[in-house]
Amino acid sequence: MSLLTLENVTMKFGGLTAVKDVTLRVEEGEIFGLIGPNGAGKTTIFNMITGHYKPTDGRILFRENEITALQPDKITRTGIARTFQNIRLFRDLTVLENVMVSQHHTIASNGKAVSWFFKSVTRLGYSEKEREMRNKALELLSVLGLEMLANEKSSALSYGSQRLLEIARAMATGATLLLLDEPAAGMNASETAGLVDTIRRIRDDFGLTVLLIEHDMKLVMGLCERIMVLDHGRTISEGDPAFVQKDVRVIEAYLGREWVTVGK
Amino acid sequence: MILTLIALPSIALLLFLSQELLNSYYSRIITLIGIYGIMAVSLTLVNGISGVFSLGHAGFIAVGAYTSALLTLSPEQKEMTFLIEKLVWPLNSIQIPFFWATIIAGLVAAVFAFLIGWPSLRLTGDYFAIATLGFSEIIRIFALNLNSITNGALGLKALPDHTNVWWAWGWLLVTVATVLSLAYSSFGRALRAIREDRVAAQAMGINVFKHQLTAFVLGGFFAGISGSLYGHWLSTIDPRTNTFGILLTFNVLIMIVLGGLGSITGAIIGGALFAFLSEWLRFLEGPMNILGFKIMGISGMRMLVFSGLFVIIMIFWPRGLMGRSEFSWDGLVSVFKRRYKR
Repeated sequence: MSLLTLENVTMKFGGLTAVKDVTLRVEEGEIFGLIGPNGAGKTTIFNMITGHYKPTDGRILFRENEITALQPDKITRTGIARTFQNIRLFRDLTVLENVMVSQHHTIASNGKAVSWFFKSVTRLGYSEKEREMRNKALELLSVLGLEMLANEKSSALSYGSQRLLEIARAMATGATLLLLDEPAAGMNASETAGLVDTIRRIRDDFGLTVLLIEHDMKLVMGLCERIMVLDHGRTISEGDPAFVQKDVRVIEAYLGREWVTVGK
Repeated sequence: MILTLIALPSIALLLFLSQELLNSYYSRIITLIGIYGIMAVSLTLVNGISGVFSLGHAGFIAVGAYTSALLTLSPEQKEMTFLIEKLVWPLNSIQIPFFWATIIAGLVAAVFAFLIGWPSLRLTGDYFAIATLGFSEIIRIFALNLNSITNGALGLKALPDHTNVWWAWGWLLVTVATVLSLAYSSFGRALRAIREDRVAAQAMGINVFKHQLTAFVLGGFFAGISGSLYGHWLSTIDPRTNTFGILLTFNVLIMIVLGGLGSITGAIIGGALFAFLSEWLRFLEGPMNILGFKIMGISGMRMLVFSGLFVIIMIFWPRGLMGRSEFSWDGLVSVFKRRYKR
């Protein structure tokens, strides 16, 4: 059984159908790319998986449990975490705090909340937990090469570093499935090359599964093991990078019908 | 840390000396500083740290004031005060010590905070502000009309003047210790994350509603405590004046914005400044002699200068005196270092 399954998912906003009848399976441990022209519905799919939108139709399963339209925080606690296309860091918090916030749910989730509340007021047996969270956060930061910036305000970071911090923050939730929404947007060529290595490394070292949206074709073709192409909310192609690159429907979607006939 | 441990007894000693040396007028102002401090710190937890903009603080303060007043007044006094309608049964025959009355006042205010927070924290931003503003008005209207509990428009009079410097500053210490340790725990970090970006906080597994509700209820609890102290400081609760009305909410809001929205120590400084200035500026309302011109006192002049001062402070410190940072000894040292280098 796949790690994440979308079954015939449809999302309508009033009269506009953003995503229509999409079926998607992500296997455990793979790096899966979701591509398509602007407005194809990629981010909408992310928002449905993470519970920010409630699909009009269809089901979403994670580890064979239905997660369709659960609250976003609940979905995160089942093990899916995301980054945002338009960076949404906690700007006034330090880099370290940004990562530590993501671990908060592990100590304050249902049942433990009350005892924990008194612990943090009285400070009895609290500092140990705090140290644990701090160490884990520092470890994740060093994986992404941000440990030198741990005490900076997150808003002071460069664009590329902010994107990396978003990944660290998502990983800190303890998720097994990472959804990366355009992780390379705004990065220069060398940063992008570094990102490819980083994503591969965290997949291998932390046993993660990665589902990513990206416009940088070089990155997608080099990094992803399987790719799904969307256009106007529908799936138009699915397969490994080599297959997708040659698919006539994909070329048509990106470059137009004329290009296909000329190419022939 | 060590300096803080030294500072606490010295503050206590100063308070003791002020009791001995200064007249009762000044020691009343010092008490008021403590009460304002509690109000400001409790509102900072809600408005500054968790970023829900509540305008209902006066409502919780009023609930606390009424609750504790009804518990500390003696049965005979209640018999005399409640002229319109008799006070309802359990309340008319009990009298408990001030400490417990204050705790119960806090708890009752917390229950009110829960009841108002539960439905209205589903709203965000301005809508939540309006809902809480409405709530505090409802409390006032109820206080005016619920004759058998609040004595309606007559209010409650001749409360025992239990509130002294020690009660006010003792409760301030409890409030600050609780809010500080909470704000700088994982819980407080989560609250600040929600303030910064609600959507991202939720995506990181934080139950936004529960966290904000907890902060709101705790803020309500300490508002109730401050209400109890304030009521016994004023020794009257009059629902017809604006003492416990919307104006009080805005006064507390001024304190926390003045001190720096989101800073707990800033809130105390703001509260102290507010209490101090609003008393000290009273001289403006008395008759004055400027350059040979005799000016009769103009009542209200005080508030005019007061607002002028706030505008000036906001121009030079747009984020309040402390911004979002807390007071620290290192910070104090570095301020002085900068002074001497120049």
